[in-house]
Amino acid sequence: MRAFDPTPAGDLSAEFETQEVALFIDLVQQIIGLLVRVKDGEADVEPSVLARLFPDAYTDDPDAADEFRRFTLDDLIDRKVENARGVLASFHVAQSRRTPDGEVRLVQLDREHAMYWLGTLTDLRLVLATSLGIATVSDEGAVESPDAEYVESLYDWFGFAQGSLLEALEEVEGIGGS
Amino acid sequence: MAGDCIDALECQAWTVPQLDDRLDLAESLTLGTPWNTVVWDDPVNLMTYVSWVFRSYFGFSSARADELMLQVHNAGSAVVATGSREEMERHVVAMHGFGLLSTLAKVPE
Repeated sequence: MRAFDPTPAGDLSAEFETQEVALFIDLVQQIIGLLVRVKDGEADVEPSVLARLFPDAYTDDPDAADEFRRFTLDDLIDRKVENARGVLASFHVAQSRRTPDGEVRLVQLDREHAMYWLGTLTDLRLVLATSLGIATVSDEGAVESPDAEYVESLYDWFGFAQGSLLEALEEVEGIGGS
Repeated sequence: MAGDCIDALECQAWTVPQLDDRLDLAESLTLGTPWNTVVWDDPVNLMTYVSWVFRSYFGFSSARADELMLQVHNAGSAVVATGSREEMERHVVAMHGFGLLSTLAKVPE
């Protein structure tokens, strides 16, 4: 993909290669699946992933932290799922364009969808960072696994996408730019 | 009203607070203790993203959002809001929605 750019109409757009779209959609669907499993109370989700996606609200009061999580978890999950579905929707309506190197999809986001993207890119990076062992400042990092290099490249790719989306958004909103 | 009292005894009975009332007052004062919303540093979220969250959710100016973001980054945490416990819980859950590490704590006396 190339960086997001502001459009003359004030939207944000970026081109994705067909295989990038497929990979992105697959990972977003995996996130939705994970969130739904957490909401259904299924126990197969990594505790470290849970702890990072739904962190403690109280550092020195585990009971208060548990109670807070009980009261807020469902809404938080709904919001994250809504973000992820918003991302899928923007791929769904993306137009295709033929180039000499193959087909690309032009993703175009209004502000609402840009917010969905920022949220989902964050969740994707948090999950990937957890599996890499770099999700919190106290993590040791560099978890050895056969696919660590691949996971890291995805993590960087989503970081690039989010960074360029924020930059384009700031240009549109006139913050920090010009 | 005090001026409506017919004799002194009635006035006194009306003006002296009952023990229960004083206890209620003490409780509501405790509930009124201010709380802080704290955002903690994490190695995942981009600095530009944290700053954007502070601008778009709290409505901070660009300069204020950057200042708080740098405080989170350099000092490890920053207080981003102070108020009632309920209000701070709403902020914390919003921060969690954005994927930031955030907690609430009583304002130190």
